[in-house]
Amino acid sequence: MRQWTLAQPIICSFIGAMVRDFADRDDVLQETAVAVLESADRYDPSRPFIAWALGIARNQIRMFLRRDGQEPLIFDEAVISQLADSFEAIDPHDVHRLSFLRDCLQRLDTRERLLVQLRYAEDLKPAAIGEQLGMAANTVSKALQRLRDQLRVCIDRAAAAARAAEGGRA
Amino acid sequence: MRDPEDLLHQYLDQPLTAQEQAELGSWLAESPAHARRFTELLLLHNQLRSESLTLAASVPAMSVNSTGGAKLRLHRRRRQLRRVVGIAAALLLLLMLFNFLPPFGERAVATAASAELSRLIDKNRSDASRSYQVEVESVALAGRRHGRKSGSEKRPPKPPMDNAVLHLRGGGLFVLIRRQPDGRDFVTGSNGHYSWSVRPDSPVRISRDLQRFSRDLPGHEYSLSLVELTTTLQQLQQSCDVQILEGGAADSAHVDELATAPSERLLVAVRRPGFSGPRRIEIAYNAATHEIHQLRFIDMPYGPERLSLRLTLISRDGQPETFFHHSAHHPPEIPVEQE
Repeated sequence: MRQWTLAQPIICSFIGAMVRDFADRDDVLQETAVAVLESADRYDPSRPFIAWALGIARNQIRMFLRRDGQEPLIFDEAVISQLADSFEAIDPHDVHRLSFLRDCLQRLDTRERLLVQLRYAEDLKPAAIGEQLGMAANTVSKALQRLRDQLRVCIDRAAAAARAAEGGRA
Repeated sequence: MRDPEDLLHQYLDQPLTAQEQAELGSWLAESPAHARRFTELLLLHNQLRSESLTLAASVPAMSVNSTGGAKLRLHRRRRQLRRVVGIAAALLLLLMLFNFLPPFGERAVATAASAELSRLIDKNRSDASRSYQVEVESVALAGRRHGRKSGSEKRPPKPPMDNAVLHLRGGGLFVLIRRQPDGRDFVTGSNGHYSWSVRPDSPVRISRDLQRFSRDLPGHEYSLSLVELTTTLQQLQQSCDVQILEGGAADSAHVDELATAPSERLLVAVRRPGFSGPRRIEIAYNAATHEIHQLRFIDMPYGPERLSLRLTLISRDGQPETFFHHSAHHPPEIPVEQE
C-alpha cells in the first residue's frame, strides 16, 4: 500500500502524458490500480515497484485508446520508453517538493487563481476560459504557461529555503 | 521548429496539429534531458489538478468578472469532486484488498514494514533521555495455579504499574517511579553500573546485577526489556510479523489515540507462533522523524497475570545522567545496603 501511495503521483503523471483529458486519465489510473491488484502475484519485490507499475500503466493506456476509439498514441514506442525511463528515475524528493505548490498557489493574485481554477478545477480548455474571461484563447494559453513557470520558480525557492532551514537546524 | 517549451505547455492544454505532434515527439526523442523536462512539467500539471480540486472544495466559488458575465457553476464542480472522491474511494478499497491478498500483499507489505522497523531502530538509537507515562489498560489472570502457593504469591504485592513513570536513557539507564496506595513513591533504577531500589521506610538497596531491580518491569522473563527499547525493537524483527498502518487505521479502540494525524504512523507487530511475550505490540511514531511517542504491549505476561499496558512519551532529553543514580531519589541520611 505504501509503495502504491508513493508511486501514484508518478503513475498518474505518466498516464497524463498520453491521456490528456483529466477524467479519462483518472479512469485509466483506476484501471491500472485494478490491473496491479490482479497481477500482484507476478510482482517480483526485488525489482523496483514503480517500473513494474509503469509497465502495467502502459498496457492500460493502449487498451483504453483502442477500446474507446480515442486518438491514437501521439508518441512512438521509443519516446514512450524514454518517458517511462524518466518517470522511473524520478527522485522521490522531486515529488515531495511539489507539496510546496499549495503555498505558492495562495500567493497568486485573484485573477491568476481564477485562471488556475478554471483550467484545473473546472477542466476548461483555453478557448472556453477565454470565452468566460473575454480573452483570446492564445492569450489564455500564454498566461497558463507563464503561471506554471512562475509556480515552478516558487516551488524551487520554497524547497531551497526548506533545505537551508534544515541545514541550519543540523 | 517552434520553441519546444511552448509546445510542451500547449500539449498540456489543447490539441496539437500533426506537424506540432511530430516536432514534439522528435524533440523528446533527442535527449533524456528533454524527456526529464517533460516529466517535471507533467508532475506539476498533475499536482495542479489535485491542489485545485482540493482548494475548490474548501473555498467559495470565485466569480468571473462582469465582462465574462457568468458565475462558475458550482454543481459541475461538485460533480467533478464526487467523481474524484469516488475514484479515490475505489482506489482505496482496491489498495486495502491489495494489502491483504497473499502472496504479493504479504511480501510487499512485510518488506516495507521490515525496512520501516529498521529505520525506527536506527532513528531511536540515542543517548538522550526519554520519559514515559505507563498506563495499565487491562489485567487478566493467565491460568492461575492451584494448590501450593508460589514464592511470588507469598511476597507482598508489587507496587502498581498503572500511572508509573519510566525514565530511560541509552546504555540501559532507567528510573521507574511507582506510586504506592499510601501515596509514597517506590523507585527502582539503574545507572548502568549497578541497579538499585528506593523503598519507603527501608534502606536503599543496590546490586551489581543490573537486572536485579528491573525485574518488576514486565517483559524481562522473555528478554523483552522495556529498559532497552532498541533491543526490544530488534527482537520484533525475529519474533513478530510486522505491518505499517498509516494515519491510525487499526483494529483497536485505543489506536485512535495513538495515531490520528496524517503525519503519524503505526507499526503493528503480532507475535509469531512459538515465541513468548506480548501477543501484539503497537508503536505509534512520527512518519517524518520516526520519533516514537507511544508503545502498547497487549496481552503481556506479567507473573500470574496478562497485562495490556501503554507507554506514552511525556518528555525528551529532560533528565541528566545523575538522575539515574539512586542518590537523586532519597535523602542522604538513608542507609545504603549492597546485595
